[in-house]
Parts: sequence; structure tokens; C-alpha cells
Amino acid sequence: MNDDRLARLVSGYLDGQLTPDERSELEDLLRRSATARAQFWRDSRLHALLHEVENVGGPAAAECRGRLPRRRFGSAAALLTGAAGIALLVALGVHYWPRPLRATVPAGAAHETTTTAVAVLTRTLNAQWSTPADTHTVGAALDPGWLRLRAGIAYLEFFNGVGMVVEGPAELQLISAREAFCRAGRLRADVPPVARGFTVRTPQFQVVDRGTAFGLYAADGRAEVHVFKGKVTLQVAAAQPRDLSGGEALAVAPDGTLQRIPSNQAAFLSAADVERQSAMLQGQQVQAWRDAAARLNADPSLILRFDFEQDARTERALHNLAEHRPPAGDATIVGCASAAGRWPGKGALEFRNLSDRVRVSVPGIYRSLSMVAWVRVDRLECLFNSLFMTDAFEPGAVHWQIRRNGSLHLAIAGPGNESAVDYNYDSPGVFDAARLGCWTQVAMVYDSTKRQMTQYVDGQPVGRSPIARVIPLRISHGELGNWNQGNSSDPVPIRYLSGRMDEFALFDRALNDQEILDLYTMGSAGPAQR
Amino acid sequence: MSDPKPLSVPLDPHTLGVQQLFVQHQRQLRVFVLALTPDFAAADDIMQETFLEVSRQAAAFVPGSNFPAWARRIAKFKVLALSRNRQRAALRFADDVVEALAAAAPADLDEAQHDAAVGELRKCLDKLGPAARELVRLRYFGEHLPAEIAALRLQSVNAINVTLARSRAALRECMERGRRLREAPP
Repeated sequence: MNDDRLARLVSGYLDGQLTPDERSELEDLLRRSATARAQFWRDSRLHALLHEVENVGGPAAAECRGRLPRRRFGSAAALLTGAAGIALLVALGVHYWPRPLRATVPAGAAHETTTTAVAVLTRTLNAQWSTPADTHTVGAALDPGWLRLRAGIAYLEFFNGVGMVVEGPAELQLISAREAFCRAGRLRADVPPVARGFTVRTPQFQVVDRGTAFGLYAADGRAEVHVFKGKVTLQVAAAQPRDLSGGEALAVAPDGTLQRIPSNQAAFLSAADVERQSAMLQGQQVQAWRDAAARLNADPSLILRFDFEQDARTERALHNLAEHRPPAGDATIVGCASAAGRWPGKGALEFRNLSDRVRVSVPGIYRSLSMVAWVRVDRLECLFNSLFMTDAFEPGAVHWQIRRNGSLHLAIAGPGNESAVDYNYDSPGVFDAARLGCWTQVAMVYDSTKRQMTQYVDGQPVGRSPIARVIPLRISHGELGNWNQGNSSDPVPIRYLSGRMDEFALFDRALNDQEILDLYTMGSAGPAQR
Repeated sequence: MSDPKPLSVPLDPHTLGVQQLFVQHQRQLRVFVLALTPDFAAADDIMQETFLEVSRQAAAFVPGSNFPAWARRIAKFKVLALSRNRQRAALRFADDVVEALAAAAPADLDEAQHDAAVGELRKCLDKLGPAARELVRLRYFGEHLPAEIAALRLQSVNAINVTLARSRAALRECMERGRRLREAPP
């Protein structure tokens, strides 16, 4: 036996890289040789240890085993050790595998989740990004790199506390939490005392802040800096640095000549201006959303639509707004606190306790279905986190969830005794750390005519799979944000959602890509909120 | 529309004790499961199902008998059950190979030994070069497969495979060295 060959095959096996022939070859080696089996265990043990080391903190964190809604039980409960954890889980009537904590390791532990972000995008006004790949959503953490704004306004907050209004067209490169490069655009920076030394470079000069508010304009080789208050140090090419104070402004022409100009604060929008305009725009946009929603409610293919605008404290039946009122009726809220939705004044329901759920009833058998929801996922607590789930596993049951790894997961229960996992559709991981806590549109379309299943995030398809065998879909009874296994006294895996939902629609036909995108555009009209 | 069922029935002290044993041994059991299903998500599913099965069968467990062996047997059946569907059968070996490997699996480390191995591995990871370290991080923290890492790093899949295999070999040797040093007479 060739040891190198065996090592290579085992390595390929651990990384999911084996071809069927290589797999057979490895299987033969393992059947024949005890030495090969010993080497297999040595190598695969390292595989498991590496996964443990990379996902759990130091020795202290290795003790952490409880995963409970922290807001309810306080931080102490999040650090339960095994026995106490189990006891509490049982007291709560919960059965699940208490997986070791991941990512949320204590401060100071050697292997924390890391971020390279330097700023957060707090507001946008009619922002048009240069390319779809360049698009940034409000609430998104911004890594070092380019922001290319074709038109509109973006307001960012650097992690060192600097607030910056950027007016398009602009090309701004974030370099760190204390430095940016502006190739073109109009921007205003408000620099609190703690962030002194904040630097903005342009092709013509460098501005180092000395505690102030200043504006900067760059286009076509010309650049201006306007100081509104405080002081900045300006460095042009190799010349001596010079200080500019409040009320002073300087222009640099493409040929490098300097010219004093009047400081013009009115030429630069402030954060307060952005806020005012944003509020005005939002009023218009919310009205546009209401108008569009009224048209949507009249769609004959709409089975269920909830806008979560009612007061859940007094009204526990969630109104189904679908006007054609097919067999589906109102839903029932179980648990679930009222919460703020996508924009100020928008209603939502919060799912954060193990019992929180909305129960729906949808009789009938469907060839195709589409679901669209607006959710803010705060944490991925469970292996599977429910968006919409039919009770139990009856043939045709629809289970739409987010996996712990952040992928959208749709499972259709097969006919007869076939396992549901034969009809599983997974998107790549889309709920990463940057998306948690941000309002997101998710959608799925099961299209039996085109025989394809598509999942969407924020109007864009993120995963499309062929449907090998069309299964008639059945919901009967189901839940938003949780799962009722429906039978027996078996322990029930916990699959509740940790987050909020503020809109949900179910159609008995396959929506196309454009319709999903339109719903996204209509629903994201109000400036999204954290 | 009926109200949702209560999520559980109360547990007896014996079942509770068996669940506690599972929690105590889960890290070692996960080593066993991940060898037989190296895909992290699939292994999580197996662990989850094993926990539920252990809870269901708790009455059959004799206190004082070998819990790790009992739990491994249940986990092995859960791995074999993967064959019930085609997609997932590809995640594991043929039945007889799973059986042969399970029979050849070394006994679990106790908790202190497991912690020592983990600590040793941390030290060894710190000795890896930055590129190899990042690769290990992408594979094990990011849970990316080599093809995805290759796309992220603009390298060929083969280059990623080779570097990963080399990094793991280096880590294995480093841990082996550490173990020999620990066990060497003063």
C-alpha cells in the first residue's frame, strides 16, 4: 500500500473531493488493511478537532453549552454548563441537542468571529450604485473598499465616530476607520473630538482633521476643501502643510495652483438635512407601498397576505388581507410580541421565544406556490430556523427554513414513505453575520410548469434547482416562525425563528423573477431600519 | 384551528441523566460522527438525530455501562440511515466500510485528554504560516469546500487541496511532537 496515496484519498474524502472511482479505491484500502483504518482515524480525528478549535472559544468557552434566547434569561443563562443547561431546558420543556456555542465566544477568547468592517451605511436617499455588485444596503457594515455612487446620497458612520454625507456622483474608497480616499464626489465629514486625525485624501491633497466639520469636493482634477468649524491640516503635494480654520476654504486647480475661496456650508448637505429629506421621502414612499399593497391584495392568486399592521396586543387573530379570500382564513398569533418593522411606524411581530409562532390554515393541494416574506433575522439559534413550515411531514408538506450556516432551505415531503430529504433545495449561505439584524426580503417559488425551484434574497435569485419530480404541495395547517411536529410525544426538534417578520404573502402560482423583484422594490421603499 | 401542542412531556430522572451523559461526551462523539460523515452540516444533523434517539431509548441504557460505546452504536445507525436517500448517501462510505471503521475506532479520549489535544492543536495552528492558517480558517471556520476557497482566493482547486493536505500533515506532526514532549521523562 502506498501511504501517500492513502493520505491523499483520506484528505480528499474529508474535503468532499473524491470522484466515485477514488471513493471505491479508498473503500477497498480501508476494507483490506487495519493499518489504513488506523491512519484513517488519525487523520479524521484531526478534521474534527480543527472544526472544534475553529468554532469554539478557549477552554472557558468549551464549557458553554446552553443556547437560549438571551434577552429572556439574561447573560448568565447563555453560559450554562451541561448539567444545569439540560435541567433548565427540561424545565422549559425543550429537547434538542445543545450544540457548543459558536461565534458568540466570550470577549478575549482566542478565536472570535472577526470583521474587517470600518463603517456602517446608516441612510441612503435615492442612492443609485454604479453596478449591482457595488450595491450596499442600509445597515450594512462596510469593509475597506470602494463606494461608487452614481447618484443620490449616502450617509455613513465610521467606526471611530465620524459621520459622513456623500453626494453622488462619488467614488470614495474606505481605507480604514480613520481614513478615506475621495476620487470624486461631494462630502461632508463631522468629526467628533475622539476621532481627531481622521484623514481624507484626494488625488490633489490630503486633509487631516483637527476636530471639526468640513466639506470636500473633488471632480475632474479640481478639488476644494471647506472648513465649517474647527481646524484641518491641508497637505498639497510636497508643499508645507498648512492649517485651515472655520470659515476658510481653498481650491486646488488641475494644474496645482491654489486659490482661496469663500467657505460655502450651504453647498454641502449635513446629516440633519439628510434626515429631514429622508423623513419626507419616506412619507411618500410609505404611501406608495400602501397603494401597491392594496393592488396586491386584489391579486386572485393571493392566498394569504399579512402586513402585521394591527395591534397584536389586543387582536390575536392576524387578518388575512387576500381579498379573494380563498379557503384560507385569518391566522392565530401565539406568543410573539409586537415590534417595530422596516420603517418607523411599520408594525411587525417578534419571534424570540420557543413558543412564538403564527398558526395558519390553508386547505387544498397546489401545483405551484410562491412565498414572499420580509424578515429581520437576529440570530441563527437552531440547526433549522423556521420561516414557514407545514405541520409534521405529510406528503407534500412544505418546510421553508434557514439553516444554521445561513443558507435558505426548502424541503418538500415526498409521497408515501420516502424521506423528505429527497426533495431538498438549499441556497448558498446568504444569512451571514452582515445580514443578521438587517431587514431582508426572502422568497421562494416552486414552479411545477418550468420544473424549477428558486429562492430569492432582496429580489435577486440566490439558488435555483431543477425539480426532479413534481410533488403536489399541501399545507393544511402550518406556522410562520416555528414548527409543530403535530404527532406523538416524541421529542420535538426546536426550529423557532429568532427575529422579526413584518410582511408575508403566499400565492398559488409561480411568480417570475421580475415579480419578485417588483415586490422587493415596492417593499424596500421606506428607508430600511436596523 | 387547534392550539399548538405542548412541546414536550416531562422527563424522568433517568432520561435526564442519560441526556447529561450525552452532553458530557458530545465532543468525543462528534469526532466519531465527523469521521463517518465529514460534511459539517450532515454531521450536525446526525448529532441532532442521535441526541433525540438517545433520549427516546434512554430506558434501555444501563447506568454504569459504557455510554460512549452505546452512543456510538446509535450514531452509527444514524449514519447508515443516510443511505435512504441518494443525495446524502454520497456523503458516506458503503455499509461494510462504515461497520469496519466503527469497529476499528480508537476509544474516546477522556475530557482532560480531549482538552489537552485541543490545546496542543491551538499552539500548532499558531505555528502555521499565514497563508496556510487562513486556508484552515476558511475550511473549518468558514466551512467552505476547496472549490469555494479556490474561487475566493483565485487559485486552482488542486492548489487548495495540496495546501490543505500539507497543512493538516504539518499539524499532525506538530501535535505528535507535542505529545512526545509531554510524555518524555523530565
